[in-house]
Amino acid sequence: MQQNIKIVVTISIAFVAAFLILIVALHDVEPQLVSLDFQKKFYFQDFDPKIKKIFLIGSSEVHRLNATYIENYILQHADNYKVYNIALHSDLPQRRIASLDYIIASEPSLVVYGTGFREYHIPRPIEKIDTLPKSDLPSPPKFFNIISEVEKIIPYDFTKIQSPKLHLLRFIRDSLELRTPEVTEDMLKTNTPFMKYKKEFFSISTDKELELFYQQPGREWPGIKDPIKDKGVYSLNEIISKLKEKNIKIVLFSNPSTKYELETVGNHDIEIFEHALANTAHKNFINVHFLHEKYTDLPIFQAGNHITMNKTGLIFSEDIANIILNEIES
Amino acid sequence: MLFNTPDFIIFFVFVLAIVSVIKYKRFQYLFLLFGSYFFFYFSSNYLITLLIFSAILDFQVGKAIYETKNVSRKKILLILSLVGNLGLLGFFKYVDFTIGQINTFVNVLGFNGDISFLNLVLPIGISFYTFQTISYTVDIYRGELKPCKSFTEFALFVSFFPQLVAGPIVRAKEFLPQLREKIQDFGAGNKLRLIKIQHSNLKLGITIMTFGFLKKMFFADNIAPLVNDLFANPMGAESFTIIIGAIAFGMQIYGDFSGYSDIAIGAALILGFKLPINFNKPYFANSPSDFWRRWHISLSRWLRDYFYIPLGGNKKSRERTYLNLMTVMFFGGLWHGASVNFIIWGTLHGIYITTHKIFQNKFPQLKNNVFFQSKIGKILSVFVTQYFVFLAWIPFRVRDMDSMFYSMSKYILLDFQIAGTLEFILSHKVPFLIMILFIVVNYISFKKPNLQQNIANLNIKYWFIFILASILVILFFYDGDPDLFIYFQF
Repeated sequence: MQQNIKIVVTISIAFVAAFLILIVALHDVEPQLVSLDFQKKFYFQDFDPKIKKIFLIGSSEVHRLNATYIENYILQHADNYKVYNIALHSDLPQRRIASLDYIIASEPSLVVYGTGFREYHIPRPIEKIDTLPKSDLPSPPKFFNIISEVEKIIPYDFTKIQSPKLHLLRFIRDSLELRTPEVTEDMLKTNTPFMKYKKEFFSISTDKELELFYQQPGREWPGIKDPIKDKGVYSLNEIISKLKEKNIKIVLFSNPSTKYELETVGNHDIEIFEHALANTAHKNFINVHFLHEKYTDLPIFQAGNHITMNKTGLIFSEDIANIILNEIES
Repeated sequence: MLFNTPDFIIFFVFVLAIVSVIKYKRFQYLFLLFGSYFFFYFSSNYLITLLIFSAILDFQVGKAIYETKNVSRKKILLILSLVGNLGLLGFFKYVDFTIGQINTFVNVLGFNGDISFLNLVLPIGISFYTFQTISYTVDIYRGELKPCKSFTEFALFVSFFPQLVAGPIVRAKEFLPQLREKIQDFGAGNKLRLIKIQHSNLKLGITIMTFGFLKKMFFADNIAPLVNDLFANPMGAESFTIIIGAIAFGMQIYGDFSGYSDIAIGAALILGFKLPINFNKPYFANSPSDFWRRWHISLSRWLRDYFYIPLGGNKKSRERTYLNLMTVMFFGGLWHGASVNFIIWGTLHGIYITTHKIFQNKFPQLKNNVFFQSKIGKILSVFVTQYFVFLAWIPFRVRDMDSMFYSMSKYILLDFQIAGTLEFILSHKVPFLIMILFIVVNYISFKKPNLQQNIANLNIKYWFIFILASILVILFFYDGDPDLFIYFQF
């Protein structure tokens, strides 16, 4: 019996020690894939005060907007504007809010914020849907959700340890200087400072490829969060209201989607998403433009919802340029 | 309930705590049974009725087979058990596949009108527990086993939670005596044996479970991104990329399935039950037959004893032996899933085994050939065998027919391009490095067959370091999403 107790105590100590090491190691981890320090360098550079800045904000889907094209389009109708595409890979409103003060400090005249369904989905369930039969009988997993109960008690940001692997790999790469940086210091001077373009961004997927893309594991739609309780919607509202407080104009748009994405998400959740955005816009007296159904029939998608960077995809940039012009002129 | 989730850890610790603290023997036994039912109900909800049905059917049929002296009646009862279990398995697993094939056939003939799919949910574990209960009735029929006197004893054999949903497929004559050693009849005056957590079993069981978690959560889950990326759309990939992908999938499925088996075996051992090993270094097999003596051992033994031998085994003519082998492997592939891909996989293995058998029969002198007895000869045998094994993994993984044929043709007919392969490796550096680590660790465990026992025998200080290091490796390579075990879908 004593031996058993020794073994149990050993295992318990091992678990506790491992989790403590994990928490300490990830203590200073920032969720951004491009560090806040690096972003700061962009926001606090010496901008020409005579030039009015327009920021395009969002995730990798917004990154496909051609800032140069938009800028040239606007300069045909208005003077002294510079467009910066400051989209970030896997951006979410609750992540973007961390750099809100820097955005405000750089004094843009207009912020164009693009957002999409996948920024508001509920976490994927652990059990695959097709092995969990629907039933009126009570479902133990709902009562067994220990992690969410623990999260309520312990005041620790558990999102930091949601993906230790990501942070470990970045640490190894940075330590060994093996990493080919996604962004370099030189890029800070460009109009797309936070993400590099890759060759594959210029291709176009066929309809079949897009269909297959949504059949891959991980592409299922787990459902949309209740906007009232969603951290993302709350953060989006915070961003908009703070920008408005500082007299920075903002306009919202929904990211383009493929027809397969719309089928996957479903009409019910699309309506919830539209309603949430419309409410946000209405509450803050800003405009919102729904582009998620606008391009479904056009062959301009490179992968998933990402518009191609080649010239057939410029229709997206042109539409955003027109939205910007309307805002400038209003 | 997945093994690699906090839910299982909490459940298992709770079960152990109750079983070890409560000294009332009957309660231990019943608690284990209801704990197993809860475990199954957690994932499968109302489908637990199928598990209970299978247990009731075979308990009654087993008793009736034993009691009756009439041979014809015994046969009829056995057929009833087979029809009941295989009918259950066939209906839930294959009905939509059959409907699909009928619809295709009807359309080819030029007729209109499709039969609607039933869209049935696949009950977790059905392929495993139905085979277990079949082994029970067949062993009674053959006179190799006496039936259980207690239904609860039998129900525990069928539903024992460590091996319930993905094996190992346990034989009644291996498991029931262990139960009977611990739990005797509920007759007056007979004592039940207490389930005791022995410290040697606890330490070894935890060590085996740790190995299982490492195989699944470190190796399998971290190699998966490379496999998923490639086989989502392998069209256009170079030969060497396809080969790397096939090997990666082979590692993933081995880590996944043998990891699960280790967790099941370790958990059962802690509770004092010995489950049969399910994997024995399959990627060191030196022939197709040897591979099936090392891969999913419980299934291949079951197929041998309850399918191959009743068909005649190798006791009839050579041609009949080859046919039997092909038939068994065909159905072995079909057992894995209702899809042409699994049939192709099973058939390929059937061809491998049959071809190997033909060679052995035609050239018996090769067995004692000096070259094949030498180290180089053995290594060559292993490489050649594994070349074919990994080729067969392609149809197992790639569902789309065009992609499957493309991948297999690229695997066989090399294009000797490397530029795309290098780019693929560089964009999947971590999975690739883990694949290399897998080869190293696998080789070490091949050279040291008692590795798990040796680690369990370490002084508690060093054992703590092993456990801590394992947990840290798993945690730091965890990407936030517990992946399903591949064999859950079977």
